[in-house]
Amino acid sequence: MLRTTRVIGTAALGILLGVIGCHNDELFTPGNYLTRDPLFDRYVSMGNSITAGYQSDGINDSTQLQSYAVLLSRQMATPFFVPLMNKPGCAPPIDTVFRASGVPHRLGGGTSTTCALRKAQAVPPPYLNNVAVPGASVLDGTTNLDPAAHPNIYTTFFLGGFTQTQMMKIVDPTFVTVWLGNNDVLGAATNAANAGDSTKITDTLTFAARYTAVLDSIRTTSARGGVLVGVGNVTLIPYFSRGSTYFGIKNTSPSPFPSNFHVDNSCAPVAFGGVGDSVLVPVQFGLGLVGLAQANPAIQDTLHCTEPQVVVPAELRKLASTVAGYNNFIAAQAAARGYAYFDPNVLYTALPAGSIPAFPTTTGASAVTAPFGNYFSRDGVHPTALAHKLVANALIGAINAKYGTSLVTVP
Amino acid sequence: MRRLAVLLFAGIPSLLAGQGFGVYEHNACTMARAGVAAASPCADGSAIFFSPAALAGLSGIHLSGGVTLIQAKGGFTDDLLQQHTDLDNPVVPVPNGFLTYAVSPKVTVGIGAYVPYGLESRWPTAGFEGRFIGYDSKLKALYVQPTVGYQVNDWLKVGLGVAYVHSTVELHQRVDLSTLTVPFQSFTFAALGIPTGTDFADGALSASGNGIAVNFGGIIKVNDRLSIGGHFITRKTITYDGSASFAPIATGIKLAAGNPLGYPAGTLIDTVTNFKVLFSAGAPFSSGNASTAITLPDQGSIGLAYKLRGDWTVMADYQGVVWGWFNSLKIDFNRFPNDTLTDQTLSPRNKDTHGFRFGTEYQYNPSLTLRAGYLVHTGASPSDFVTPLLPEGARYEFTAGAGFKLGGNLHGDVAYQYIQQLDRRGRVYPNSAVGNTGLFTFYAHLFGFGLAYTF
Repeated sequence: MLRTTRVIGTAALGILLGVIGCHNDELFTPGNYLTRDPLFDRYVSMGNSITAGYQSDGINDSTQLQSYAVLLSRQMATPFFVPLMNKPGCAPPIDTVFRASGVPHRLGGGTSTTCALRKAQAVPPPYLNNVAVPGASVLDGTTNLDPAAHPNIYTTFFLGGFTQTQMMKIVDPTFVTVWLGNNDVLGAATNAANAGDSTKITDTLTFAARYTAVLDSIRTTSARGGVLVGVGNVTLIPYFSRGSTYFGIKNTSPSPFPSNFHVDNSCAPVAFGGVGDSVLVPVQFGLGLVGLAQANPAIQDTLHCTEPQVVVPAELRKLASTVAGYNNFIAAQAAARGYAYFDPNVLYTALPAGSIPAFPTTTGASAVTAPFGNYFSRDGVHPTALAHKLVANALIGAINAKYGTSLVTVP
Repeated sequence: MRRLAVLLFAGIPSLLAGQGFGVYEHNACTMARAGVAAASPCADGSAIFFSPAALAGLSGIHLSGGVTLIQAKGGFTDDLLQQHTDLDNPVVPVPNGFLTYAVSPKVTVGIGAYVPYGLESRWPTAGFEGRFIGYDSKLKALYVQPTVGYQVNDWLKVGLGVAYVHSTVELHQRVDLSTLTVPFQSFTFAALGIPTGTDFADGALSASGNGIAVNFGGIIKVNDRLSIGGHFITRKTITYDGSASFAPIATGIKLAAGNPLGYPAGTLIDTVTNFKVLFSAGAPFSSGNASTAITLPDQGSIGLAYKLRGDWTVMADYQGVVWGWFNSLKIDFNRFPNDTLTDQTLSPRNKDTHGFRFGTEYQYNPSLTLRAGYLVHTGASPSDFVTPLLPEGARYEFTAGAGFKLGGNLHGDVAYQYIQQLDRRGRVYPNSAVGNTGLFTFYAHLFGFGLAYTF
């Protein structure tokens, strides 16, 4: 009987072992995420058009993936979902700025109102990591409905009915970057009717209260680190040329400007009795006048450095001092809350001389490929992919210094 | 025979406690020995399900009834956010009842009520990504089976039962606004920026159907120590007819200025006319009739019982369930002629399962019997269809229990069963292209209680 028992027992054990040869599945961590520092388990980027990946006055899935935030997420080895837009874009980015017709050409031949809608991704993003919205001011970080906010088509396309902070909270990030504030001064600087209109600048106290609201919302999440990025000095972007630059070009022989286009002596450098060194001429206005003169040889057209469409010295000082005030506040908040701070304006000064052209290139091959240099896209305002890489690497440096991490720079 | 009517009580819910959505815990005595019963079922009438042939030779009248309490635990952890959601199942009671009557020394008849198929998978809706596949799924299949067992000769018994099957199904799922096509447009709301996972409607399907299945088997007594037996229950495809309803859920989304829909800032999206029409008569989310069909598969077992001593028996069964029959599930809406607006077809493409059960029973004294068992079985769900509807997989299980003489002709049984399922990767998004995005875990505690009275 004992022998029979053993036989049965052995057979049973054999069957058992065969059946339970299977094993537990495991949580899957994609191979490219294996090296991730836990600080970066969930990264959310808040911001405006720069962070969203807006370039050349348009945005699509290609420009979005060139954003510094996307580059940074790759170096962090963390999942990063972006509200991708279909090509050619919404609006399609400009591919040729200067044309005989005076109307820039956009990718796919669309217009500034063309919109190809959100991209139907094979894997729908379960949440969003890049919650930045083009046109967002600091206030837009926390509300879409305040009368002072600046919601636009992207607010819905990117966030549905959420605000940036609401979408951020869904992710419950461990790390956050905030680059908000540019539009609190940029709108004033680029105002077509009155460039530099000081009434359109968010005053520093209001800015501080709104920025604090954004930071307080981050405090309610699991975020253990972050970078607060200062506001860029909008007066340095190649969207603007100095009045003195126009004056110099006009008085160069032979001048590329048409003979019926004139530059008033008010645009002369200070040394020559003008204020042109301290006047910013928006490209659309300045070259608009040039184009008008070219198209109408019979008329005489003059650029004055005192007219409302340019940024006059007092306005320029106001813009610069506001940006400085913003950045002082942001830096102080970063220090108080344990975040890293990065001032993007150091990148301007670190660029090789001539990187930001004093005047856009309007003829030749460069007029098509890089009319505003290699660091600014074809709208003269938004950074190119190359500039995004610079920003990403600068942020990596700031993060590593602050948190002792070892993020590798983008090659 | 009037007593037979007593047994026709409702066989209420059960849940995933066996292979696929099968349930095998229909009797505390059998449960305590890991469900091993093909060759030598418990002498309380439960043979009606486990091995109909064993009715033959059961003298007198046996009435038994009981309940199994199933407490299922588990959850889902997603890969990216490592967010964990617990299964929200209640303790589910699964009753059973059997009555037998010896017509003659060779013929015994009986009737039993049991629930061989059933499931309940309930998940919280708040924050659980899988709610758009299903968050509260229930299937119950009550079998009421008149049976006859016949002793052919000294060594052979055969049995046959014909079961009337009444089955109900309930499915609940949320509808994700982002996946819907914008009325009168060719793109979805996702294209306008509506986030993935925006609850927009709550869908419920409730339906029932009936059918007939046959349960038959035989037992061969090899010698005084060894018996071999088996049984087989035929499959039945149940057509369920019922109703489906959709209730709107407030998204709470307020449109910002400049939105692509062109509505004023602050417009609540739920109040937009285009959305309301989706719930009107004839629209995709109108309520009305619906039907579906589910095949309750064939299953059978074969096994042996060996008496090591007069008071100690060891047993083993192989159990197979032909889950391959459960490969497609279409929910067909019939709210108006040629209604295909929201028809859904799921393709579980299940695999046949194989279970191995080992049990033992020891007569400690005339009043106390001790039982224990162990079983393993494979999973029915293929790796690409492990979903919140049925996050099922291979399992191993331990059982223990005892039988007591309670006085007179009354006998009681208690049993405990622990189920551990191997962790399985699965998916929680309706779009199968997304694939498996996390890990389902599952285990369960089962408590069985039974009373049997011999007249």
